[in-house]
Amino acid sequence: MSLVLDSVSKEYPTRSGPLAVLRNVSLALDAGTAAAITGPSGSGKSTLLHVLGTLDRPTSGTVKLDGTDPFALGERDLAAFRNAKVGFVFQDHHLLPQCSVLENVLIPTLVSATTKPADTEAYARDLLARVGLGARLDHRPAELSGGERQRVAVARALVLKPALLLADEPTGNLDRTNAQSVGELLLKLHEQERNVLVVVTHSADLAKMFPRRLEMNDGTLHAA
Amino acid sequence: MLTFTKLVARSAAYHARGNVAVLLGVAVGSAVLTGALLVGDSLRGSLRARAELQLGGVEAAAFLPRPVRAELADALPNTIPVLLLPGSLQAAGSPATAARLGRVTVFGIDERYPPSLNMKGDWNSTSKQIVLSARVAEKLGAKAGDKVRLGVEKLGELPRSSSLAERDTDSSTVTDEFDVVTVLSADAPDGDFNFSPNPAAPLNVFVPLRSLARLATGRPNPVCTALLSYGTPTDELNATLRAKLKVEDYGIKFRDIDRKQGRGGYVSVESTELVFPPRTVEGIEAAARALNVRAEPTVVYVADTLAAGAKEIPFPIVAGLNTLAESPLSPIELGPQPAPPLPLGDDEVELLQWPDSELNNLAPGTKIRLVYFDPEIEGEGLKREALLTLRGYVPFKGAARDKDLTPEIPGVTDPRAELRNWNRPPVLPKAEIERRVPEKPKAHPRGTFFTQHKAVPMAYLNTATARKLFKSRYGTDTSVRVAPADGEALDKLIERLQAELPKHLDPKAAGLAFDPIRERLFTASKGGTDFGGLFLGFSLFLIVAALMLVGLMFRLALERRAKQIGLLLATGYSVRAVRRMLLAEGLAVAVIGALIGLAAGVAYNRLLLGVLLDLWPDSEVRTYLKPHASALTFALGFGLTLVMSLVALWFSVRGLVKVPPPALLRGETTIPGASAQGSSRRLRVFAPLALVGGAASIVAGGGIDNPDFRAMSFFGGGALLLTAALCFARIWMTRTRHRVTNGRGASALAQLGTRNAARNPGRSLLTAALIASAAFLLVAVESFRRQPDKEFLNEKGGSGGFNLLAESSSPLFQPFDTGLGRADLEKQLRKAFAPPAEGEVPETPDFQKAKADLNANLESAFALRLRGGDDASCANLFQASRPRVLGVPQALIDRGGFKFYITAAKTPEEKANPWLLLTKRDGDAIPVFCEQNTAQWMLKKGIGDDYTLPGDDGRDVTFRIVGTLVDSPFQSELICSEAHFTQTFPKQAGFRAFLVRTKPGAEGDVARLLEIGFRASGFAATPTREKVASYQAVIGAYLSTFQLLGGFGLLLGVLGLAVVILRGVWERLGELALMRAMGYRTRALQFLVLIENALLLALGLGSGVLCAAVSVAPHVASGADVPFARLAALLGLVLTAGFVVAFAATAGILRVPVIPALRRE
Repeated sequence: MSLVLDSVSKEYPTRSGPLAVLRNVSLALDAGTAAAITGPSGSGKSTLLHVLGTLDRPTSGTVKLDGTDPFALGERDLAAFRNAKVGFVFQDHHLLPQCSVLENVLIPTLVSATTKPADTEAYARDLLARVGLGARLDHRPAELSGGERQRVAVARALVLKPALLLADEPTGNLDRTNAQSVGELLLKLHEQERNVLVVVTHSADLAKMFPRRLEMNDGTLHAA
Repeated sequence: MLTFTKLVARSAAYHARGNVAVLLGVAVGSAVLTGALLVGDSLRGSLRARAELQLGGVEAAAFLPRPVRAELADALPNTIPVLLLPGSLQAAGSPATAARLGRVTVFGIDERYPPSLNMKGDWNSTSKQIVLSARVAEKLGAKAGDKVRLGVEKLGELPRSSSLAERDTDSSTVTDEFDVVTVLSADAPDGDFNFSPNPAAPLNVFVPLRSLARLATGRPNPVCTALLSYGTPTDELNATLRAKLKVEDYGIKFRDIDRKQGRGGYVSVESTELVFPPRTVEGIEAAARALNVRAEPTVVYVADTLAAGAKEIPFPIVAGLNTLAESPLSPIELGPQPAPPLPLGDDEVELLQWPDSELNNLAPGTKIRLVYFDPEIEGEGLKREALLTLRGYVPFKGAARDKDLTPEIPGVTDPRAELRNWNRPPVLPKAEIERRVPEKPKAHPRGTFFTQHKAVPMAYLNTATARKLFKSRYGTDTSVRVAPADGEALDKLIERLQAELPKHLDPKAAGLAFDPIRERLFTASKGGTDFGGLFLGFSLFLIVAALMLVGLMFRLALERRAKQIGLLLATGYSVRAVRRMLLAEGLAVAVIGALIGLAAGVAYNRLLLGVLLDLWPDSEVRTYLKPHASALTFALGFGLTLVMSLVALWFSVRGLVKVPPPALLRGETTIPGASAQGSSRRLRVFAPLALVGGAASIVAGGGIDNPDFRAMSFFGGGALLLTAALCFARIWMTRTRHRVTNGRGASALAQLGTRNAARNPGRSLLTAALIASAAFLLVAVESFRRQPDKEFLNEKGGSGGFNLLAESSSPLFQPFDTGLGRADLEKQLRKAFAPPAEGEVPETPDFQKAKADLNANLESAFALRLRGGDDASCANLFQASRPRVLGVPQALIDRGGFKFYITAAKTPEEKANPWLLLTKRDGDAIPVFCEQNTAQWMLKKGIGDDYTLPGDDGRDVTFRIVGTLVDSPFQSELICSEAHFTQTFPKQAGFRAFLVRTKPGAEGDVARLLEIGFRASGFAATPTREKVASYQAVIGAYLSTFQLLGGFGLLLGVLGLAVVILRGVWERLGELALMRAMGYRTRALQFLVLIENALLLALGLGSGVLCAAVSVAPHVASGADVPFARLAALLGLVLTAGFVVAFAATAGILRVPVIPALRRE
């Protein structure tokens, strides 16, 4: 499993002409690699993450995940690819308030073509136990703390065993203790699952926990 | 275990508050749709129930052209005889002041009548008892025990238009006093017994059949004019009827002319109505051929004069026949004949050579002037002349003395009849007879001849010439003389003819056929106008508005969940899966909403019916128009609502799932930049096209003759203009460069507010479009509301210059504006104003005043012919399949007048007087006019279209619409020329409709005097303004109901506006809070929001009003008086309501504390 970006650029049209957000970004990460990307606001971190997660299409360059160029896929296949290969953790947990903790973790499985419901539920329970919420399965998001909600979001991101786990400021809304806990959790689960983990963060503390650190600056990516 | 379905259900429940708005929107759509369909159900169901009620179980009915023996009914299965006559009633007291009632339906019944009537007395007798329906009793102010005077047409044997018939009121009508034995209860079904799909409630009275027969015919023999059948198929009835009909039922009688002179007798087959229709003559001839006997059609006519120079014979009888027919059918069999005998040529005459004849001894070839009366005399009569050539003389002996050539005519051919006693004005007035055939000092030879030889003809023509000269619409031949076979006795021949003749007669052509009346009424009960379709059409806007609101609400609810949608997409849900999930949730909500809507639809239907009935001018409708429902309607309402909701939901979801997931995750719900600009580019092309197309459609519409296409062209043009206006608004909203908002105070705030309206172009335009559509409907509908205008009473106005339109139950045979008719009217008035006394009726002061008033105020009157039928006006909820037909006299055609909507006039003469079109027959089609509303809505026809009705002989006749009138009192009939009318409906005698012009303000007095004068004929006059206003009130009832729908639509539009404003404020709460933190006052912020609201309101109202104004342009151009003040008030109300709602919607939210709002930001 590998993630390879080759000369990826991203521009947005504005009234004053195209605005370059990513400039010839190249990156290669093998399975089991965990990388943290830092950088100032507006440097293009989140955009890069969205491109990695196939949520946003690069203006030029290629992205290959395990040898596949996801942007060559049609809309339906791309969605299936993302469902199977990519997991997301956002700064805002985006849990569905109408669903329980377990149900929130199971949300991605509803559209998975390859998994069996019984297996995924067992795995979801296992994941929730591993993130320390085994006793809170039936709780609603409103009944959880901020850290707990983010742990649910991490479990949700991993429920389909993605090859690529992307986290966008996963600790941005958390206090230091919870941020530390979530960072450790991400890394622990990453080691257990042997996926590619990319975290975008402003937090130097979080970034330090990662073996590989990169810095984004004005649309370009460098080793930190 | 979480499943897709569970997730959908959970989401639907969790977002219940947001979904409630969607649910309510769907419920409104469902209620409106189902309710509109239920209005159709209600109309059909109510009319069907009414049809059932008014038929009283009758399945088929035969309405006979003349009285037929009542015992015929006994030969038919489940059939009863009724002597059904139109009549009039007067309450007891002086005729001048007593209550009168016309258009009464008189049922002459006997004990065969179903026992639903609470009948007392002996109905098989000739007792003068009468049962009144509650309606009649109420209108007449009569109760059981009272006496009332019943008037009906006198059923004579001679057509009233024949020269020997009597035509004045006393001769053509008959009245008598009856005792009211019972007044039926208001809910008695007999009170509604009626066979026509007409809106007017029947005015039924019941009298014993024999007593009515004696009143109408002078004889108590039970006869009937209607056969009512209960439960036997019409085909079977008609087959049985055909088999059971006797020759006499066709109006045929036999006389055995057992001649003493000549070579034996013959059988004279004669009509009880003086002349035979041509088809009957053909039947008799066919029967004679089948019996192998000879038959000769014969025409006998009473003429005015036969003259050669100064010599003349007054009042001669002229016969047309085959003079060469073999004995015993020739009158000249014994006369000198050339060898070989020559038949009489056309326009040749042979005169009877009788001793005192003035015309004896003329040389063959002498020109003989024949003066004769126009065969159809209604009114003053007309003398015609023909110049004949004398062929020779018939000796006055043998067969030439045959007085029986002339058919039996009471008072003319009786043994004791005298010429001087004939008194048949206008053609044979007694004074004129006495002047021309004096008895003193020396008896005139013509009088002496008549006394001695009765109706022996004095001149003979060939049959063709006689038919040409004496042809009438009823027919011409007065008899068919049949010679017996050798040695056959005449009574045997009669027996054979009686057996054979029915085989050669067509009962249907003779009007002796059953009509599947139940089936006809049930067909008519489907409604003249498809109420379901009509209300659905006008509710469509409301439904679309509700669905737009559904889409808007759903979209707003989804926008609040944008992050969730983004997450689902990010998690790997395909767009399709997300869409499916959201639609499934929406559908679940829609199902519940649609179900609630079904129940609400029932209430909505009741509301619409209630409003319609409250506004409907005829309160009678309230007695039977009730809510009805069918399962199919509910299924349709539910299914269609779901489908339409799904479409609305799909549109609202479609755009949202196209937004990239990162944008959704950021809470953004629109695609900025490129796509909007692309859409704007497309609009820049489309908007001018729509503008040009709209303008072109309107300009082109002005040149289209067909009113429907023209209206469509104008409406389409208006709609395109509206679309263009909204497109331009959208372009403005989405354009990237706006003027920099700068400055201070209210104007700067107004600029900012205007910019805010463009913040969400989709939402803003949707709201504006809702308001625009509602405004369009309100204005367009209001513009169609009408009242008789200022020009109404002008000759070129809606009334044609006539301020009274009258109808009589029994026909009048003499127009009453001048001459004999006027004299008859004065005679009747003199009787009405005189105290009851025997002998000469004195001229009382009251009469003299009445006469003076009449002379001073009655300016002109036209008598019209009327063939009864279904009321085709908008007041009739039934479908009029056989509309009434009016025949207008040539004098009215020449006069012209009235207001036309459109005509087929081509020549300058026709354009100056479109009535000339009625005289031009195009092929078989008879040209007719009708009211525009009647053509468009009831008959579903336009100019040049054909409409088929059965003529008097049962054959279909085609009428072609060559013009439509506006605001005329003729909304319930087709109008053709009198000439075409009499050809098509020869059995309709006399005049039953009248256009009257009086001095302004005197119409009430004139109407009263005419009603008193013609009380026995059931004369009733209505001011044309009142009549037209009543039709316009019906249209007004529809319009008000449709405006109610527009009002509901506007309510939805204003609600939508409130939602959009609220949503916009909510989204900008942080921004507004920041402004407050910066020192803005709450009032200033509210002003900002209200400006945004005002812009949308102005855009909606402005474009809607403009579009409506354009689309109703043709209507306004036709002279409609648009109620501008009322419209302005209505739109002002809408504007105020919009502001009030916006004010209320924003007042609370703007008071949210600043810090929490800023924190949310």
